[in-house]
Amino acid sequence: MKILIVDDSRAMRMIVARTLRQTGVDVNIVGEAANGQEALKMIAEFGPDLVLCDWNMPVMNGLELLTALRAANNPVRFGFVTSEGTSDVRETALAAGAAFVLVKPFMVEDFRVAITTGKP
Amino acid sequence: MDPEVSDLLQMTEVVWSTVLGLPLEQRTETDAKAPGITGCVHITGAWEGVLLIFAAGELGRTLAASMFAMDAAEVTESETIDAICEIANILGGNIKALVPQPSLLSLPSTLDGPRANQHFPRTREVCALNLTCEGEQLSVLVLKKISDDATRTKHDT
Repeated sequence: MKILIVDDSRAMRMIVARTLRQTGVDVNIVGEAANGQEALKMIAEFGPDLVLCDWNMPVMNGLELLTALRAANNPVRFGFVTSEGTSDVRETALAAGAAFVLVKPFMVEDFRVAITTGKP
Repeated sequence: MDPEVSDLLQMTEVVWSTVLGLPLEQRTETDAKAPGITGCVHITGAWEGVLLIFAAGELGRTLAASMFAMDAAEVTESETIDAICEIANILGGNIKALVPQPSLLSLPSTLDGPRANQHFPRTREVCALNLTCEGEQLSVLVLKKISDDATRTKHDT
């Protein structure tokens, strides 16, 4: 599974990558982006199977990225990894086309279930 | 409803165990003049306030080393800022989930220097933790904005 990680925190990108490796799922991290704008370029370049994206970022946030992808008819599987676990964020994310919302801090098992089953 | 100290403690312990893998201990004394780095994130909307996390001395570097899985001696200032910001972001996001909605979370930022030098006008402390991590002081605070009405009433009287 080709995965792109999008988060403005390099520390969090490393933690997400580390957690993905701990799931035991066969993952290939094809790139890391610090905001939605960088991610759009990498998605076009690498064609990931899954985008794991923060919600709150400078330049272009996660919801703006997802909206831009769906407006361009890009159906790439998309999951949010965010500290914002409120019901309004969850509902907005799912309505915009996200497959799941994982709330920080997360456990390895949360990640494994989300990326393999897509359950929010 | 305001977040309570038990909420803040539980969140902080979970972040420390799952993200950082470092132990925490309660602390009885705090030194507001100790040098260090503060991460802060603002909540605005139906509930308004700020979450602060203050790491004294070299603790910021230690936390970054844990997050980046590297030796503390190799940690750069930007990596320390990144780590402190992300911890503030995680705690702030979890606090946001406890307060009246709708509310918005700002991007995190950092402040240098002792806690005593940091002022957030028109706020009051609603909960605070005084902890020790790796022998250094760690403080986590939630400040709530005092409403304009309350300020005016206080001023008028």
